[in-house]
Amino acid sequence: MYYKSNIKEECQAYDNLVSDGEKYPFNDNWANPIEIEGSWYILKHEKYSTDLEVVNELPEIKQEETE
Amino acid sequence: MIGLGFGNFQSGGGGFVGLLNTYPNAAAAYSVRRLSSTYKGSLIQVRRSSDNTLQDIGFDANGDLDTTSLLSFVGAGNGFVRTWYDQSGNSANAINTTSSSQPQIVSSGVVIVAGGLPNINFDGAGDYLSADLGSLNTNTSVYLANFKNFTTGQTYGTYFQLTPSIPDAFGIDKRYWAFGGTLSIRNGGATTSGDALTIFSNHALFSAIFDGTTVVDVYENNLAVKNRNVSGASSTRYLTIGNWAGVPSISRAARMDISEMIIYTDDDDSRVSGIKENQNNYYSIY
Repeated sequence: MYYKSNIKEECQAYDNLVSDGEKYPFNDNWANPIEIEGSWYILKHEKYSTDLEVVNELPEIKQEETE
Repeated sequence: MIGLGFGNFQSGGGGFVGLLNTYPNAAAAYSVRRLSSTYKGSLIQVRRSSDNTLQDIGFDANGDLDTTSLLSFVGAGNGFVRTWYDQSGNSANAINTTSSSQPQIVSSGVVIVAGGLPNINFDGAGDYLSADLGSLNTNTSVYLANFKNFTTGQTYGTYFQLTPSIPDAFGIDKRYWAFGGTLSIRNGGATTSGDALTIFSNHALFSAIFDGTTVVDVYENNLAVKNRNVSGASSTRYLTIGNWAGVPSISRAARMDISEMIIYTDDDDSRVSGIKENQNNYYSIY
């Protein structure tokens, strides 16, 4: 599952929440926000929640976007 | 340890001789086995799921991945590869510092294997490792071993890309969505597709030799399977394994297994048969 937002920084804040909580060494992080058609998504960690909208899957990317 | 280390030692008690001793001057070399008698470092750096601690894992007396140390460290949980160390001497380690995108080597306390040998699993949902080979090149040879691409549930997957910057350069990817599970060779933006290969169903040896202009020779196991002209020259410096270069993404990640990847920055095809023989002696592919 993924969290969705129109604001990249909200997804980055979730990454910071997880990364701080998990205490990854060397400033490693949990996940990077993904932009698809104007919206931002970040992978949900099973132990951490936020108020952002939850989606089960990422939207399918159109063929021409993968060229 | 897992496996018996065949292919690592000379007959007659001549000591350890790795693939890179016989075929030197690789630009980068990653494996679950020791590849050179001069290499003394670790093979992989692993993150365990229980507490996210990292540990380097080396090789045993046979040159095989030290799976005893690996399982002792990981325990009953999962182990992920944060760093695949370069054994070429060029320090081009393949790294991913984003935890959720690191490929996996241990699942629930069991080493992931293919043919009885450790196999690194890229989940096709964003996993990748990346490295800087340090300089721009044009001609390139890439050898993969114990490699399989799982096409089920995938519409697109990039095995690796070598790029001068971001993105578009020499790369090999699968375009399952467009061509029903066939290989696509990409070169500087141009693409040729349509080749059905063994790696979609079995672990195999796979290699590609790129002459820096338009010709790409593709080999599977001990056979030359394709010689394709792909317009659009490109240069290579930045390596991404398992995903699209520069901007790794979910939709472009490959669901794949791999145990070894060796890169030369030339198109010398005289070493092809020897490397295949060495890899097959170890991985027992065909």
